[in-house]
Amino acid sequence: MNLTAILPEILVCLTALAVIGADLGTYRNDSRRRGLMAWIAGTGLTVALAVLFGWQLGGYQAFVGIYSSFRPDAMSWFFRCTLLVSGIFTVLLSVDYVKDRIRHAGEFYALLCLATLGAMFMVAATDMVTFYLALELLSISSFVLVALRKDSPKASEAALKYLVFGALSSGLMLYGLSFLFGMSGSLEYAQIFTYFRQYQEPFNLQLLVAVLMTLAGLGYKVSAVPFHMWTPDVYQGAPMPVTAFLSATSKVAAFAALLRILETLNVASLTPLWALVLMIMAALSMTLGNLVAAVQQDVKRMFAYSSIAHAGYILAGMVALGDSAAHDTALTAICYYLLVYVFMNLGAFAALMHLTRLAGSSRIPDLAGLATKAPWAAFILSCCLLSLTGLPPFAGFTGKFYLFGALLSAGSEYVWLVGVGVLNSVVSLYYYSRLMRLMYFAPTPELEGKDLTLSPALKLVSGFCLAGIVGLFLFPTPVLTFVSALSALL
Amino acid sequence: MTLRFADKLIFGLLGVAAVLLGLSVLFFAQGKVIAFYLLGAVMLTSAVGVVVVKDLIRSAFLLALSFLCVGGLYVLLQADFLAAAQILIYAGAVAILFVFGVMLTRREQDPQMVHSFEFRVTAAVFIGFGLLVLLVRAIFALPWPSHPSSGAVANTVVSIGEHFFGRYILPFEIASVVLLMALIGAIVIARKENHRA
Repeated sequence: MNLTAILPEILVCLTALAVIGADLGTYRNDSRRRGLMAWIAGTGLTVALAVLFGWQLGGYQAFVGIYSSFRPDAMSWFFRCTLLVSGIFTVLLSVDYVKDRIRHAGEFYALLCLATLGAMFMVAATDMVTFYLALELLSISSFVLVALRKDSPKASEAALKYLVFGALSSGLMLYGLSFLFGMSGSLEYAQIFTYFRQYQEPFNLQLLVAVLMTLAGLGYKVSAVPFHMWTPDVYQGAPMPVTAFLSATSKVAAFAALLRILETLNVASLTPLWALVLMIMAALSMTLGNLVAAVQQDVKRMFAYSSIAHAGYILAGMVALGDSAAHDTALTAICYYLLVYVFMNLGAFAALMHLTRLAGSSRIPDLAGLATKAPWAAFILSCCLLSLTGLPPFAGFTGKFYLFGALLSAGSEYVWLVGVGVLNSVVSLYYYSRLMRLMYFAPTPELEGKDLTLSPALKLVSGFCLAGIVGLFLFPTPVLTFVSALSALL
Repeated sequence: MTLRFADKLIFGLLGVAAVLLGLSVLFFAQGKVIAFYLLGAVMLTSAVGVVVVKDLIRSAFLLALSFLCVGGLYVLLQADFLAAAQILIYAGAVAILFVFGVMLTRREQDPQMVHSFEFRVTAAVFIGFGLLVLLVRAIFALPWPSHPSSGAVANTVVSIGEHFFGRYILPFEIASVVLLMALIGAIVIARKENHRA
């Protein structure tokens, strides 16, 4: 057996252990210790990312997978890079927050690395056992990360809600997967696919239960309506960097896993069923997410609903996977959108970390007039919000353009869904621009005794994210050509 | 000593078990079938009891009973290692952990779960019942295909070990990372903070 294919994962795991080890040493002062641990976590993840990039230059395709547990194909390469980028950015986002407000810094960074590890295994798994274990690695470390601020009752409440909902949805999904296993007799996606391609029976309840339950469990992970109830509370209660992490890494990993499962079920007897379910979920998520986001008073809750809405857009793109003509464009669009989503969301969170620190709260009215005090953060936040709305010159526009384009090319019966998506983008412009207007055109508050300087780590993240969303808009071709070459995901 | 509902339930279950055990001795040829229904009935009744009974400690012991029956079902399926693991881990460790948890977090009053018949409970019962009907119908909708490879294995421990270090090496390793992570997480959440000024 050759374990080279999972070298980046091994590095990430070692990073987590190194962080824990570094926590044991004695240091001159506490902030030095915390700084060192952040540095180890960031460096470890960066080295793993560098290994992945190095492989791409020198023959990544030659790697053999580990049975069907780990498939080193182009898609897993793409998503592992995305997840590592998201992990590195989250570490950078956390540096100052952890210094001030998290007591257990070592555990924080270690869990962050382990959660990233789970996400990386999840996107490359092509059998149900590995997929489920990786999912639990990601989920359980997320529960702990949310609960890590023990001084805050809100965080504890959020963690408990997250845990209970998570357990329920895992149960539902396992039930669905057990049906798939019972019918096909295999845990491997490829064999399940072969079984269902030759499936002769007419449509029946077994298929319905299997597909519905599996989608319900994954719908929870991507926070799609009607499985979204946990999202606003958890996003609001969690420490800010963890919120950013959940909105980026968890979402990307869950969508990538969903992509593989949909590919498995992409057969004539099952496609109409899941396409219908996804269509309903997409329309509901977009509409509810945007409408409720518009009336939120807390910026974290607003971002929670906005992330629900974005799950809706991506699910709408996934509907197009069922159509053989639009399949490849849809796949390209979804991968591209997820990458862009990481950049724009983490950029927005980087700016929000600074702004909420200045304002002393995460209520939207408290952010009023901060643009003069924190021009760079306000500028970054505005760019990311415009990109989230889907306006040029940012990559959010390109992403939505391809998503809706794929859906249109899938057939005229999806035009209404595109209509819903476009209308929703208009709604989202309303509440995103409300935030921008407040920052720029409201009277400047007095901020006595607050340190106005933007910390170097946040500066770095926000700069990278801005470069990401502008760069991906101006030069989308390399990424698009890379992801359009993805095929055979089983 | 007055008998509570939970005690009656447990004694009732034991009685049913004794009767069925007697029957299975009488009709030895059908032993497997009888054992299946016996275990199934006790398992489901005690599982319902876990939810319905008000006293947490009794709930925990009913849960242990339910786990034991699941272990019995594994024996019937000739999965001996799984049965032993089930009894050791679930009936032995998890259920006892619940009891310890209840004991150590006990307040002045015994923890009693409150059941009130309000709208939410009624809705939950209806949804649960609907789900049950749906799942039962789905299970019996079509005969399940049988797969030739799933025959009995003489020595399951050896075979499981070979799978752990062969085909399923990666899930096995991920499981160990999950355990490590759970350990770290549990300690960091549960440890007592000595608040500095």
